[in-house]
Amino acid sequence: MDKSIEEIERLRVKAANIIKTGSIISVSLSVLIAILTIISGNFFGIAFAFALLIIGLVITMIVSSKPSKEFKMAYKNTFVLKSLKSVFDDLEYNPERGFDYNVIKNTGMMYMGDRYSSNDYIKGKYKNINVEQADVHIEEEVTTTDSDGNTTTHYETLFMGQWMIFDFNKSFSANLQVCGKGFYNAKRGNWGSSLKYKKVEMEDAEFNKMFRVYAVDAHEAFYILTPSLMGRIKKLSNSIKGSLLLCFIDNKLHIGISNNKDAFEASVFKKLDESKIIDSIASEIKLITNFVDELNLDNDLFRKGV
Amino acid sequence: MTPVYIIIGIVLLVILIIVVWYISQVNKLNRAVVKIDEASSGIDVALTKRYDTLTKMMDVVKSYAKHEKETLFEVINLRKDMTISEKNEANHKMDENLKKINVVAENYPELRSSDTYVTLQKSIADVEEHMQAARRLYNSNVSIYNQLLVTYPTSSIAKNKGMTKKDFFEADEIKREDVKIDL
Repeated sequence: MDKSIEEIERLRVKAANIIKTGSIISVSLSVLIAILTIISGNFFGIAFAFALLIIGLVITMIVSSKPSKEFKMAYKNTFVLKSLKSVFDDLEYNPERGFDYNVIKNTGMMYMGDRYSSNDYIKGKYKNINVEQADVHIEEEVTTTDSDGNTTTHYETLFMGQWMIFDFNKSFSANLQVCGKGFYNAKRGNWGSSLKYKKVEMEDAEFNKMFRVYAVDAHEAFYILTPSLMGRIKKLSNSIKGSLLLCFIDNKLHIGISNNKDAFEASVFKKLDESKIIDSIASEIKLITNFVDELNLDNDLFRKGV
Repeated sequence: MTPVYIIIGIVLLVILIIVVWYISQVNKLNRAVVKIDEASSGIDVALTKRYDTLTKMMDVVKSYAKHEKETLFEVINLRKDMTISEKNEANHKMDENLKKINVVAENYPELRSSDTYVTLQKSIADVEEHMQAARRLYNSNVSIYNQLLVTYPTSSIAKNKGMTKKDFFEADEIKREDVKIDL
């Protein structure tokens, strides 16, 4: 699957040309028809021209989807894979699959809405810590009715960003949820669950302002969230664009960053520049490894042996 | 409806509001006390865990340092219904014993490198974390309760019920930081 940059650039140009050509033809034809109909005095032709534009763009999207996908897959299987291999051991990377729906649902952190998708699945070891991450998109169907009784349906994003799962360096028995701004009023996913989460006030007033903590057992909340860890979470949260949520469950740490970003994506309209690509991918990988580094997840001092 | 009934109705409504408010404040105080008691039990559990792990460590150290007769560990008695100051004292004695264990272990490299000792060191680090968590949770609950006791009008209700401020569970300065144990 490993392709040279020239081959990938050719795929990009092919996809970009199809989109550009299709768009130009669609727009030109529509404008031409619109002008002709206006000259002939048939104003219904404008609607026809508009419909033609839409149809033309849809056909362009359909025709370009295969070459676009070919380019994106080649990009990911070459540049992204190469960069990931340089950071993670025992790497498994699949751009087309993501986390199973139940992995996210079982954390009880998210209201799962009506539409779920996940891709760019990464699994590997960093500093001997098991790491998994994928892009996750959760949407809710919203139906609105206007004053004339017409109903329209659209999807609103509940979560779009990266979801990561790390080994946690402490053994704990009860679950803990830490919700950052943007998730305060989210419909919580633990309705009807047998686990009874209670809001816990930590002794750090600034942390309480930035996050809401829900725990099955308050002692476990204080055990996991040491003053030092709270300080490091605050620092990380301030350095990240987007809302942050953390869930400690089954001796794993789940981290969700809702930043409306799809990681490791390339644009068909940008000429490939290897050094820029490597830098861009490295910064996205850094987002993952930062959690291990900054939260000292590789410190196994508290892993019990007795 | 005559004005008299309206006035009686308003008075009854006001009394009802006051009674409901009073009950809610009393419940708030009672909940705070229950949370402190629960957190206090958490300290008991953490102290017992710490005591058990330290006892194991002392046994291991004694088996290596049979000739060090001068090493006398503090005698610690854990019992039910200990006051916070007694728990503080027991915790302090455990600190002293841990220091002595570390001092003795310094003289026995083979002890420090033994699997049992290394495992116990990891275990004691975890136990210390549980101890700190229990202490922080207890102190956090005491802080909330003590604030209620000085905030009007809750303070009046607390005074009537004979509620008084609770003591914090103090920790040595060294243990205010996260646990750092060199292995």
